[in-house]
Amino acid sequence: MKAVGLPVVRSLARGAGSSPGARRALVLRLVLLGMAGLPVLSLLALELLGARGDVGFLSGTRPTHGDLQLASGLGYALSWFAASVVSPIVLLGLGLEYGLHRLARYAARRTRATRESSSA
Amino acid sequence: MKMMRLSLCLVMAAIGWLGTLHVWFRDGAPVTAMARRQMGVWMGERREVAVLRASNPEWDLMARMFAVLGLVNWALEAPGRREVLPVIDRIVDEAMAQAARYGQRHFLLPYGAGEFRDAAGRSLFVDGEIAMMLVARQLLVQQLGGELGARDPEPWIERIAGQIARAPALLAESYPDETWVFCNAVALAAIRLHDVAMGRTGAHAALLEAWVAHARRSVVDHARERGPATGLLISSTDAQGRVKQGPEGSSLWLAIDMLLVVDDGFAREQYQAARRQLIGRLAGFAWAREWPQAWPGHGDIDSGPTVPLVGANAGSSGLALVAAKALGDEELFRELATSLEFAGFPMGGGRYAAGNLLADAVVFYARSHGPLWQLVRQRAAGGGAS
Repeated sequence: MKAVGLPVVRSLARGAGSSPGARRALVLRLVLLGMAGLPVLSLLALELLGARGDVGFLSGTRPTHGDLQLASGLGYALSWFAASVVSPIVLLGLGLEYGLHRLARYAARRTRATRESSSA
Repeated sequence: MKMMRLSLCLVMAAIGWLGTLHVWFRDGAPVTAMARRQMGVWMGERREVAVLRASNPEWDLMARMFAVLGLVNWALEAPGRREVLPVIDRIVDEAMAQAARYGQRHFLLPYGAGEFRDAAGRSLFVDGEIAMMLVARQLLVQQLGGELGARDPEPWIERIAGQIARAPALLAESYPDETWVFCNAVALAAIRLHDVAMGRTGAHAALLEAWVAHARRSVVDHARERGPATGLLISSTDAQGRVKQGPEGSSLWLAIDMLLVVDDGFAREQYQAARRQLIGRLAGFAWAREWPQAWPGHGDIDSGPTVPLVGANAGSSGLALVAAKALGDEELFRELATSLEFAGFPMGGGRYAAGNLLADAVVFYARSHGPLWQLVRQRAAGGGAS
């Protein structure tokens, strides 16, 4: 996991520990990250392929290039809604949890340091 | 504990993101960009018109009417926009030429092949929308100064007025043995505009009053034989006035806009009832259902797809923009426009990928709406032709 450069992922790995529960939590977080990233990547790819122009089926317009255009438009529309609604929620949620985790660690360190200095 | 914390964080993120998502989609294309797009399409190649016709030949004529109404509004909104006139002339001339050359069925779906009950055997959909384009042009020409030429709406107005007056239930046919309130409302508004343009506001007042009185009595759903009443105008009947389809958002919103110049009070009553029963709103977004919950309908080619669960419908939501703007319902208009920017896939310059040329013309008409109806009100109050 050290090879992974993303700080959030490193933190997830550190926070996972070695218990089965922690490993399950790590897997869940990675799945969530994948859920957030997949629509964004798919949207970027479809955008580069010009699929944005294929979503006319949403207004009942008959596709001029048949089923392929329909599939391309459907894929683009689904990717867009997932990337604009689901992905930000997942990323914000994971970010928020990461922030809280760091805050809790900082608070614990401060408490330990205060206790040690007062006992000394 | 960690799972609980993660779940809470995701819930908080969802609340925060969904609550502010609308802020990213507030700005639409400028009206001038939309006007330029429409002018470019109608003066240039017609590939987009061919796409429309492949789906529904009605959309060809409807796109023309909304483009003309949008251009007239845009030209009236600021001085010096005479460049719209040749575009409007081309749109209208082509529509009239095609209807003359190929017959009115050129603009109708294939099921329009039967015999009309009315002796004239004509479609109010085609005649009414051409009449509306001609009379909107007439009012613009009167403002800008110019000639009517061969584009005099008078014969068209007399034809549609006669057709409505002859109809057993004051509802003229758009298709054989099929009337649409939408088409009748467009025709009535065209009649009203023409009376104002000619400075004889009372010329068809009796017909307009009789139509509204009849509509209040028999075309509005009073649920005499069904469950709870919607109080909304139904959308379609047979030639005798028997209901074919109940209230339908995509028809109703435009009918409301048109009825504003026919009977302001009736239009506002319908708008309030439609708003209560068809509009959904959440977190800065709004959408319109195609059918009220008290009278569910079934999809057709005009309605387009409906999003399950919330019932959001593209056709109804687009035309709700027109009604919200026409009624000065700024808050709803802003929320509907926000939804359009989010789910309409704007391509820039007034084009939405989720729609087509007709949808873009409807949005252009909605965004430019105001000056033409305002002019009609002023001229009606003043009583004379300028």
